[in-house]
Amino acid sequence: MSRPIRIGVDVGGTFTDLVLADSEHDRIFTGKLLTTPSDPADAIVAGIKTLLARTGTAPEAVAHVVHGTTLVTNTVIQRSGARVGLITTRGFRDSLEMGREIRYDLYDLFIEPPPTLVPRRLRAEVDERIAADGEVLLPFDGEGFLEQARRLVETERVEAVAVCFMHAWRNPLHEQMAGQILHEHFPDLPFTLSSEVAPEIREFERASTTTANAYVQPLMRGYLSRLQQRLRALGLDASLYVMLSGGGIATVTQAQRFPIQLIESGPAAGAMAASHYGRLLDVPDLISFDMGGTTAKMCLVESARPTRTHEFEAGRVRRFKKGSGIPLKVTVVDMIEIGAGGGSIAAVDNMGLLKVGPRSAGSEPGPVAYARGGNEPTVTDADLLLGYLDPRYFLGGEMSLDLAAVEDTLRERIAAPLAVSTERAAIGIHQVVNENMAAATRRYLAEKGKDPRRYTMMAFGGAGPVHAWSLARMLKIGRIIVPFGAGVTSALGFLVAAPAVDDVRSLVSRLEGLDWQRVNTLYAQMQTRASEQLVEAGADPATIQYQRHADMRHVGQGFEIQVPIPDGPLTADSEARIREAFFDTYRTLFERRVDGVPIETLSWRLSARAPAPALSLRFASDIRHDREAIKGERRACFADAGWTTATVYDRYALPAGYTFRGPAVVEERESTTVVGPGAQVRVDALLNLVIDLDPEA
Amino acid sequence: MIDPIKQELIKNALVMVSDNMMVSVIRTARSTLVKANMDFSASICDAEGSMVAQGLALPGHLGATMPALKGCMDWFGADIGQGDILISNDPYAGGSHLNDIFMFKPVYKDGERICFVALILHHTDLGGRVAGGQAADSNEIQQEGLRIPPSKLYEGGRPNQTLFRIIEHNTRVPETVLGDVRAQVAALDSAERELHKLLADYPVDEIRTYMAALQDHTERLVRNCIAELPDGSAEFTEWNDDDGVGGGPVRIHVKLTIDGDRIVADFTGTSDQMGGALHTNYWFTASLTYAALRAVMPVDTPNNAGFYRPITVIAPEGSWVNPRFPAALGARGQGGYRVRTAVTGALARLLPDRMPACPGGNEFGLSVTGHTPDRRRFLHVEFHNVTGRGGGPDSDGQDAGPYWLGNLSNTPIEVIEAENPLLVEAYGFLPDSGGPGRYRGALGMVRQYRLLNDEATVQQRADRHVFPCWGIFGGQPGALSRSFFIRDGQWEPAPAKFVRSMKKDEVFRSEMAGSGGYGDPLLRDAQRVAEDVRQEKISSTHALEAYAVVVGADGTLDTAATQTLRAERGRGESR
Repeated sequence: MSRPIRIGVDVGGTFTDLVLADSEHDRIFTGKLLTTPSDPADAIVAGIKTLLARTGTAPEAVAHVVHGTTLVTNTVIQRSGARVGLITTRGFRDSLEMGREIRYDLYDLFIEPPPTLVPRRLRAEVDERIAADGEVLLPFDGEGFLEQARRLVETERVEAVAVCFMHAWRNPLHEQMAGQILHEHFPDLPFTLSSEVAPEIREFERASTTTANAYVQPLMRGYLSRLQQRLRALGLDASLYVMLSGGGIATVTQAQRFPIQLIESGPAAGAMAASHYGRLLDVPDLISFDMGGTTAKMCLVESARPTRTHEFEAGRVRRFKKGSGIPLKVTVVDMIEIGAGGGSIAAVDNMGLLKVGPRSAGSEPGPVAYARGGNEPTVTDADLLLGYLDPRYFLGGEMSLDLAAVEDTLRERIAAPLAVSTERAAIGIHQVVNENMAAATRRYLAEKGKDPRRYTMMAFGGAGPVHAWSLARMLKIGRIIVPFGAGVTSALGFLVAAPAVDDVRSLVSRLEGLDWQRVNTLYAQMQTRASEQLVEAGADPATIQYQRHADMRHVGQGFEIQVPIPDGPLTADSEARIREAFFDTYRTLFERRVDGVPIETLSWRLSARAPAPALSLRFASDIRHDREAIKGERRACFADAGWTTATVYDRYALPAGYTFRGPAVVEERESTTVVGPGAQVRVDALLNLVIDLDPEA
Repeated sequence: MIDPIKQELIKNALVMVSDNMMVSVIRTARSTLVKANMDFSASICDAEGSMVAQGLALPGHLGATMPALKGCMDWFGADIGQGDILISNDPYAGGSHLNDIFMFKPVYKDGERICFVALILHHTDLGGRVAGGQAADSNEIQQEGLRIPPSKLYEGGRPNQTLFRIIEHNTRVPETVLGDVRAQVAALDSAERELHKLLADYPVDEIRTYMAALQDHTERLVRNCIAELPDGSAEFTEWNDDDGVGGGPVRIHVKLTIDGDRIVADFTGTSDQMGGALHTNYWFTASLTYAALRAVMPVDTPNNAGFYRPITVIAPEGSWVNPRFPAALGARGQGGYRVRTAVTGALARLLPDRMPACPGGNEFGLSVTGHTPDRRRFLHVEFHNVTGRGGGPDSDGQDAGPYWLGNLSNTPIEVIEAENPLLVEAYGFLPDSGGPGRYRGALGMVRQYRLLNDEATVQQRADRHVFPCWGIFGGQPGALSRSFFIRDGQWEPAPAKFVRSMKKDEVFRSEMAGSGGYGDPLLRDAQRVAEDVRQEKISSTHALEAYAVVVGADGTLDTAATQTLRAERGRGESR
């Protein structure tokens, strides 16, 4: 490639992070500025401009810009999307509001329901009906449809329309006719057909996804077009890509069509970065652990790819409460988010038990240690008291921490009510927050039939390396890798993601007697569409990789498992192989095999991606091998060992090949790595810390 | 000495194991009721059979586990060992109704029993007169299906093949039921393994100590909470339309007393046991009472045996809420709703600013069975009990929001249609059906099914065709439930409870009652009434009649006319 520069931009709630990779000189640069909520493009443009100037980069040397955005998520959370009209089959306009009629909290009488994006008045019905097998039972009433569309657009002034007909996953004909009418009569109106955005069985989830797509479409259309123009005005004719929730990237045109696929655009990056490290370091199976101020995110990476799922909940009424959000059928990196971060607040509840999180002090007022008015003890405060953090070297010394205030607060709020010592209280906080994360991780892995002991942990984010050693011990994980520049690891994900397309078609049938010809046709359709999009995104068709999966289950079960499907045309001869693949997957998940119960297929999935770009990870500018590796020592407290003396290391001075033992603390600007007694640390060729918890084992 | 940090860690471990059992069952079970409706509960009981932790459970299962375990422990005494799985569905030995199969697996450490893992699961069909076991018109339990007294499904790790075969031969859908039995066993096995891993670091006596401490903590928490409620006594009478066989109505009367740190619910004054299968046995009555009271406890109150200790439930033997053998109980789910709404009503009188009016819904259980055109037997069973709660002290009932007395999710229409020769023609709100009030009750809903094959047997078990969902403090009741068969455009009303055959292209329509309103409808904000008209949740006629609010068909509020009308109505009422 003639153009050596790639830029990644992550627009978060507080900061816009930028990372620039120069493949010619093997360098990485990072930048950070405040997000501009009124138009996020302002900060992007300003940030890129500064970064180009700082690195002396000519705009025409930039090959592409990859953008991760929380705009879609925020639009749903803030309910600031478009006024949408929904048109359904007669008899079903209320499906969207009724949902699955399940409570996310069993006992709270007055819970706020998950939001309904389209109120009843804007939900219209039309005569048409298709049966579960795709047969047309009642023809589509085009005139009636146009009348409803006119009312919604002209009288009710909707800005986008969603169409979701019964069994459109099986036969999209009527929705396509509806789309044709909308296109002819309202050429500028954004509309979404359920059979295009989520062609899967289960009408509520499909309608919910369709509506959400329409809800964010007008906004994202405008935003992405404007951003593209402004980058051009800057002299950047680089291609602009957007990060998808599944970890791939897409062109602006594709993103404008199905913007709902950007719902987890930002969080996917951390898992992508961890996967890249996995590939580079030849540790393909790992658990990525990203812990910041408010939350911790865990993601299982296998064969150097993050695991993915095809369901997501957006705009939860209660952030960590499953079922309190809008369900979406989109492909997302399968990660869990736990209300556990440096800012998580510890308290003694009315049962006299110690609770930590999910309430967070955030960055304002922040932990007590920040001395910015926070008066509730947090995880960071406990970490400080235990000697894990240096009160004088926080954020590289830019900020000092108030240890005395922390001691007072912990004594008063935790130690006294529990009648334990202050350090026992601090250890308790550290243990409880870690146990919360461990429990969530065990559950997350158990649902996939996975054993944590088989994996390496990749720890990053500000608080990740502080808690990794303790957490890994609870999970009986043997090895931790802490990448160099752990505080910006996540942003690298934007530079290692490849153009990708995920597609799906439902075909509900028993495996025996399956219409293989039809499956081949569905795959051919998906493959053509995917390769067209990837070529449009700049991929060489010969290098595109395809992966196929089917959602399958025993007849009568309510939940499907994802079974790998072999490449090439499928025939009746494929049946035995697919059956065995089903049993293999089933055994991994549930540790048993059930014979004699027929197997059925629901949805067929295709994942297409271009090869991942190469990226070296040398942060050349940060390294200071002229300095002493050992900064000194300090007292640190560990759950089993009590107070011990830990050696303090300067991360920037550690050369490749250096080894040492815990107890130790390794300091860098945005994070601190805590190594408990007995563990062995090695600095690898890329300056990552490789920690073996039990080196003799 | 109890270490509060260790206690929190052990509690989390136990709750996690219970939750994991739930996840395992959801993902491997085969009946729709389990997979979509979540009609099952997982828990852990200590070595003596007291519950320590419970996974997310149906409120109706709150108090169910311990009595059934006690039934098994009483029968087997010392004859319980490693590798056993105890099983029972006997309502006269601590069970609830025949469809709920309870299983318990003792867990050992260092040769000592440390606890039981427990799983209740509703099974689709265990024989009996009518498929699905929900018939309201059985008169004795022998008609209702297979009764499994306390038994061992596994003994020392070896399956009891005889019992497996008996179950297989006593159900209409052996594939589904045996699949679910296996899912239940597998979940217990993996819970046992997980417990071993999680509790490996704790000595046996410490585990016991903390299991007891967890229950004591909950008891203290609940007592503190009750002590803060105002002392007092309130009575409430509810009515079930009938007893399931044409008798009735059934009177359910409760006197609820808050006295210091304890609560007594006394059902003296309730009808005697009758015909039909709607009875709730003592343990189910107690569970329902706990569930209703749970609503005024802190949201994160742990579910364990400590919760029950401060609550006393009195139900006279031989009454409808504690019948003697051999009363039938198969459709107790419907009767149970009335027990709950009775307790809820009494509670609302004691705590007017904390409780909403009566939740709506027709407490509908439906089963349709027959053969598909390719001669496969199909059985569609569906529970669709409720709509949102009634109006509350400061908010409307949530339309279609399930209320807190049950938590059954619906089955997607596309899935119903893919698996059964049924076409669902409508599933939506019924405008004007929410009980008028200062805060409106949730709207009722309608479901309408067309049969696509030649013939089927359809059974409905519903209520609220006669006695509506009550309003409180001036709020009005919601609209009644109604049922119809529609053939060639002719609507024929049907009762709340029936079993009958249905022919091809016949349509069954079930309209579910709306919830009750809270407070005087004349005090409802006129703007909110107008908004309901705009959202087509009420008609302008209803706005006029029920709320004295004048709204155009387009939803514009006529403020002046409304003021005049409301003043007139107010005078009319005071006269």
